[in-house]
Amino acid sequence: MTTRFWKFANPHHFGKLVVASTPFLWSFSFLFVATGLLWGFLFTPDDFRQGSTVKIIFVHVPSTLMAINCWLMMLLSSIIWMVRRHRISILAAKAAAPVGLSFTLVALISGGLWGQPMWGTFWAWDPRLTSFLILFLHYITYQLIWIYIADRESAANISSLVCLVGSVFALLSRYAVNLWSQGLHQGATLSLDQETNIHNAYYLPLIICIVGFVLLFITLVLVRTRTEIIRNQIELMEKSRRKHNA
Amino acid sequence: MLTLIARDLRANFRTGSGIWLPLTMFLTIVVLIPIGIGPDVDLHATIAPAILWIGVVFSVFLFLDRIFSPDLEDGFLDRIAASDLPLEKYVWCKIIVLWISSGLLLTILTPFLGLFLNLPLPVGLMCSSSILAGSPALAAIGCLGGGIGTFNRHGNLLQTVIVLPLSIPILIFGTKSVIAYSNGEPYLTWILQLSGISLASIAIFPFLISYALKTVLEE
Repeated sequence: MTTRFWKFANPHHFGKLVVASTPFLWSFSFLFVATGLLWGFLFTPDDFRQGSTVKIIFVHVPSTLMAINCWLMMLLSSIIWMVRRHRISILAAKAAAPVGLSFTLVALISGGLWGQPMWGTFWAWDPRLTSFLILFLHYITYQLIWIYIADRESAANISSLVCLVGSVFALLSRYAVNLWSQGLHQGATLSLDQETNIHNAYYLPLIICIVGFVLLFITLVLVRTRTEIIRNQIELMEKSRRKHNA
Repeated sequence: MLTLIARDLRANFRTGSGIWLPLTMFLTIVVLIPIGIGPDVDLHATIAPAILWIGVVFSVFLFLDRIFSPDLEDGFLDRIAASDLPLEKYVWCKIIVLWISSGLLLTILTPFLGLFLNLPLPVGLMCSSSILAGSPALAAIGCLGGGIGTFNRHGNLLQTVIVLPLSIPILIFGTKSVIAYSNGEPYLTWILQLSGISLASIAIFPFLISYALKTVLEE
């Protein structure tokens, strides 16, 4: 099993896997996201207090979930790069960063749009909101490392370093921010170990949306990683050609 | 190692700016914010811990580009890397020097400037002890920013962006401890946690920073 997994550290095998699987992944993620969002927006009842604004949940919750999981995936890839030096691993982290950044931004904006009619404000310095803003800052830092460090090898090392340190400090900030009094944001409405979950009318489309977002994330990361690998190869070829000419 | 620390400290004292610039920055922030707010004395006392802490953060992070770049340019860093002295020890000395020439000096200055912000002396002393507990971590973070900032001409931007999110938890713990103390709540926990973060940072960060510096030297 493990040997089978590490086989995809070879760019050739990885590329073949991506090319073979992307049509299915694209269609499934489209299917799930479209079904979930259409069902959620058009065929669920309005909440008796929140009206139709409750439907923002179908965008907000999955993107929040993916924003955090994307960072975890980047952390894992960075550790794999530092330990085993598989190039695809760090390129996958690089490819995932803008996706995670977008999910974070979507979560922040959709939350603000929901907060304006419900809480009367787009933004509050609530523990959950603040820790998400901090996560957003960490994403920006990570992204800027890749933009501003020209040499790929150094950028890979430094970005994995920043990802590692950032994870520890993001956790610390999450803990520190929780010391503030409990804010406006509600607790978890969706978890596996709780008796009271969200109402069934919203539950199923929400699950479909989450599955769709996960599939969308996997698809985007695979495709973008393959692009990064090809770009890497082009750069190497150009370097060797210049060396040859000189 | 002591030689290294003494060498850098002497350089900081001789140039003058190495010592005086962080202090001036600190003073500027502590003076400008109350002037911007106006003569509302109670408000000053409420936000004084935040002002002092933000002043410390800015002063420690003032010239991160001067931590490693001079040594990198004149080849001193290459000599260190080739010598018997581990790079980690050299980095550790740099953190200590940065801490002495910014954090430690500001700690001494804080209670007096606290009086200036209508902060009672006990609370000011509390504020300065929280700064004493937290500033080593800030120095370690600053050295990480300085190390990564040596990579290119955009170093200034890069190091600012790196240190910004990392300094957030320290700022929160620092101000929280002072506010808890002035409200009569238990405050020792926050100070201890802050010291824990600082001790862990100055133990672990030298390894991370020398990893970054090795990458620079290989480039």
